[in-house]
Amino acid sequence: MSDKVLLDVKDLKVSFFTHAGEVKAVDGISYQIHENEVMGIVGESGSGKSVEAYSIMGLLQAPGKVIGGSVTFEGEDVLAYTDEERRQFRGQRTGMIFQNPMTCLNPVYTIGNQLMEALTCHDKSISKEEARKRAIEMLELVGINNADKRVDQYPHEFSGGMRQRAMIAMAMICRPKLLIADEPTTALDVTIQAQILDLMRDLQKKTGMAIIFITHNLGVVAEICDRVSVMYAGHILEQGKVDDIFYHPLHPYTKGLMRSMPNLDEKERTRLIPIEGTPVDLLDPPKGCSFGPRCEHCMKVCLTKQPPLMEIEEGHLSACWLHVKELKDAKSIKGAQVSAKFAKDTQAPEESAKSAKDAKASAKSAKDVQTSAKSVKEGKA
Amino acid sequence: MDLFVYTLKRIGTALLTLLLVAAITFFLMNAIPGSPFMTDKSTPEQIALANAKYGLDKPLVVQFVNYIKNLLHGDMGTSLKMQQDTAVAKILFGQGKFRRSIQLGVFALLTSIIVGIPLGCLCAYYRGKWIDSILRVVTTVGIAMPTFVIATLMLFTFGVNLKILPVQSGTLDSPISYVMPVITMALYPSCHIAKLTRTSMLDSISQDYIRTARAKGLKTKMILFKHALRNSLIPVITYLGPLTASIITGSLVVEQIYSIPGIGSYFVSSILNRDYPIIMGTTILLAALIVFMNLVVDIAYKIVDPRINLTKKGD
Amino acid sequence: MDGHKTVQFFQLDPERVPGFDSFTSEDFESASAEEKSSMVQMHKSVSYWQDAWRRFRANHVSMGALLVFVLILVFSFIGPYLIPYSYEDQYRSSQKLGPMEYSEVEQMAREVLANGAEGIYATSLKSGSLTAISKGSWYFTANGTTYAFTFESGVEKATLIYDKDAENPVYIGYDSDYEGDGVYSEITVVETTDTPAEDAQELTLSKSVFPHVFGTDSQGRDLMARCMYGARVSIIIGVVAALIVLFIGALYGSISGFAGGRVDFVMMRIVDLIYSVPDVLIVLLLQVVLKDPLQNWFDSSSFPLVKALSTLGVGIVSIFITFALLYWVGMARVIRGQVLSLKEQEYVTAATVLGASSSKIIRRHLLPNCVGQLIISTCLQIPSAIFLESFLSYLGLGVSAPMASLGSLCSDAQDTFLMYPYRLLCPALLLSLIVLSLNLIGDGLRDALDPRLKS
Repeated sequence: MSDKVLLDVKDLKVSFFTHAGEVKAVDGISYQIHENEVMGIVGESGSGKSVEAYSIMGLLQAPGKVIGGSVTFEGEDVLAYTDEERRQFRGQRTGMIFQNPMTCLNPVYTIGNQLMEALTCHDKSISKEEARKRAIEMLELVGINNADKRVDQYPHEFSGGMRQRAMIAMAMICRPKLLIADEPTTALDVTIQAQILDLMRDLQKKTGMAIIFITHNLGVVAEICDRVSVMYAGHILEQGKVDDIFYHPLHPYTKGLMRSMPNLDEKERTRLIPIEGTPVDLLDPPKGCSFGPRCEHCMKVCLTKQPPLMEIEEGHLSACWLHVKELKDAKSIKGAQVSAKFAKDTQAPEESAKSAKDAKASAKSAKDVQTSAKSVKEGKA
Repeated sequence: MDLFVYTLKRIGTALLTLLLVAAITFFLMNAIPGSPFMTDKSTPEQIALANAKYGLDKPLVVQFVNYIKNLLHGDMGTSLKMQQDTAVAKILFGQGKFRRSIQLGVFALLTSIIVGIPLGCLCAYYRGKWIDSILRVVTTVGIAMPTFVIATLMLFTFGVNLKILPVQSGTLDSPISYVMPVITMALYPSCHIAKLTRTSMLDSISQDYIRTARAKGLKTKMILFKHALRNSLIPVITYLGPLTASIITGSLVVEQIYSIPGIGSYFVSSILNRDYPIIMGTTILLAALIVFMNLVVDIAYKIVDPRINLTKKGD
Repeated sequence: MDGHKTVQFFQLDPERVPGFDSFTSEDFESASAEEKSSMVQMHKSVSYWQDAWRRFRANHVSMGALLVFVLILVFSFIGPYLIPYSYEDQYRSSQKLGPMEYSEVEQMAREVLANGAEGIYATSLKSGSLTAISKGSWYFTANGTTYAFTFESGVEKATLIYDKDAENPVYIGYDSDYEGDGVYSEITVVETTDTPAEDAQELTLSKSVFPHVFGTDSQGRDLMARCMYGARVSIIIGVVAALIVLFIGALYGSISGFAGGRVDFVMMRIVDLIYSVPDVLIVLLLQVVLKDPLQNWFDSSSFPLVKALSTLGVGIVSIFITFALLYWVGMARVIRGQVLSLKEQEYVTAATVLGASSSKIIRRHLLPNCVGQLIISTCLQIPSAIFLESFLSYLGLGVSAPMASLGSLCSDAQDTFLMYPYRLLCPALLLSLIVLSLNLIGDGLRDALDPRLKS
């Protein structure tokens, strides 16, 4: 990981203007991605994680619209690009792969044709033979056997996993600095999921590109990411290094996520604790904290004010008024340690850390043992 | 190989359909009460004599089997009334009727494809803009006008009032005589194709692979005309079968209005005249055209869409 | 890595919390359950049909088309009661009039009216065409008084004017020599009595001469009345044919789709076969073939249903039969496709698991979910039925005289197009408007009802 900032998203706001009214899908999120870093964005369906990725790529379509904030890529304002500049940005400097590999490839053209096209549309000078050579190389790189034959086949002759490999090859053929992966493993079998994750990790190591990995699967996050942002209802609630998030979650929502994950290492069967309630209606979001209605610690201030994302520990951010309460209490009781107070108020630190550790371990094992692939998809059951 | 077997099968069903059409036509035709030779003056003896002469006194099934037998030898019988005792094959092919109808039909078919698909693309490309709105209105009006109205209006505007096109196309000797009949016949299909292309283009555009193409950084034109168009042509190709049928329907009216001696107008008058062999001949000929076109479409469909063509080869 | 090692060394900086000092301890009291639940506002759920209707309303083109179609419906179904002419009455004095033209009789009546006469009964004969008018007794009522009179040569060829200020309130301007040059100059007082004869026909007074908006045809029939009637016939044919297609197609398609397997295969091969038969050729033959047997059947049978059918006429009934025989296959395919895909849905599986019977599944789960498709297909079937009817009528095989449809009106006007273009243009325009508006409504319905577009 390097310290050079590759992508800087500041206070990005995206709304969908529907018949029923404005839906604030993304309501002011900020994060940075450094070169050679894998950032996971976790959230339930409808939390705005895909919308946010689409707006970076300029793939947002009516009635969706970016209504505020900025996106800076290598110092350039992405949102201010002309159509031609944005076209060059897509594919060449950033690549994107999608959830359903079965429908994302055009059925009437060969894989090779679609790969070569990604190359030639950014570099007119490249010859056909060379493009074909590159396409075969890429297919080999993503682990497709007999690439020189496979290159002339149609998508329907590929299996789901192979199609996703082909998609990855296509997204990476121009050697982009950033790859956005929008739930790339969700539609695949668990064994294939693992293969694709391994592949992506290998490729990331080899090429040094940054990846934004969007998923609702915490196990996948634990597997591949350096840092994680937890999204809920268009806001980032918690952000930090993957270990911080798993071993020491700060936000009640993240804690809830960890508690709702099955733990296979546990000797006795323990009861999973789901997060009560359902996600908010984005058409008419609560005035205060968006997680407030489902939060066990909900306070008066939460009813009226959305908490800002505050740096609680080094590189570990959380958006919850509980932290402010901690600080207030700490100030009034002089000498008391913030952390101790905070921990006591919410959950014993040892216990919390232990359960989180288990959670991470279980997430990994869940992936390996190929049971319970969809670990966290609460509120939708 | 797959395609070959499929084609053979498909030809089989096509022939079966033709036989069915022939049977339906034959028995329906004979269900019309009375005899084709019945006139005000004819006596029962004369009718019986005429029936015997043309073999109409035999049981229907025998007549039908005989007809099919002869048909397989290229003999379509002889006309009973309209051009008495002339071979039907000679009337249809020898007098240029078939040639004229086919020429008109092919021109109309080509015109409607050449006009319809680009118009549909234009609409999809400029979706929501004024050019799309105007073209949508034009195409919707185009499919709401009956052929005979269009034909009459054109005839009187360009033929009678402006005098720039011949009023009667007749035997289609000069190229200019083709203009009005072809435009009239092609109007409805080209509007239909334009609408179809627009809808299926827009349908394709909402597909996931178009999003992939956009994420790759392809140009908008490339996305539309390479990725969206080829997929959206599939429903247009399937329409070519019904299109042929609709052009033939149009020809029944158009040939009458522009006084073109072709199969279409001859078919209508043969029904009104109850000239059995000619009804059979024209019906089978026209049906064969439609069935043939359906066959071509089905095979073309398999070739255009690789998913269908190669499903079995995949494993 | 130790989970909580960083906690001790890092502290949230109060400076970076906006408005840190403004928070009171009250802010951090736990919120009650009511307060929590008040944050979430439940939205009124919008039903499928409400949503579809909202989308349809938002579609201005389809709404405009709907308005036009409603106007046409009013024109053709209510219009005949508002104008004094009927589709089959022939007014000898009003032959070959252009749009908004008046015949000499009507012109004279207009002049008399302009001079202050109260009411008029001119060509507004309801009780039959000219040929039906014989010598006889007539009466009308005005201001509570009944005036009966006898007029030798029928009323149509004269113009009856009621003037309440005159000594004797009835005048008839009549043609002194009917078969001659037709000069309508004389105005003669007609003698009236208070008591009408037993089978006298009543005349209604109208205060002005109603114009022939679309003109008249060569037999003196009012073209607007004929267009209204023709549009009504065309619309009825379209709707009934579409309903026939809907009924047969939906039944066949849902059985085939629901049964699946071998039954489905056989049923669909039959559909394929009928589908590949060139329909128009068979339709033309059928029209000719059905004509005489149907006529015989109508004439011989006294069954009420048959009598009702016979009033429609042979042409129309054979069109219905044609639709019932050939045109249902498209609908059957659509419905089968729908049922097949719906059958795979989880809720149908759930219903099966719960032990619901087949008929209940079809009625409760499959049909309601096909309704959108059914409505769209039916709506688009109507214009194509109207088209086919006009095509047949044009070739002289559709509805037969004295009945008229828009197609037969066009066909009648074809020969005299050069002299009287409005005779073709009026029904043709009306026909196009009907087909156009129905197509647009159908398109709008498709956009509104197609669940694929629902996001």
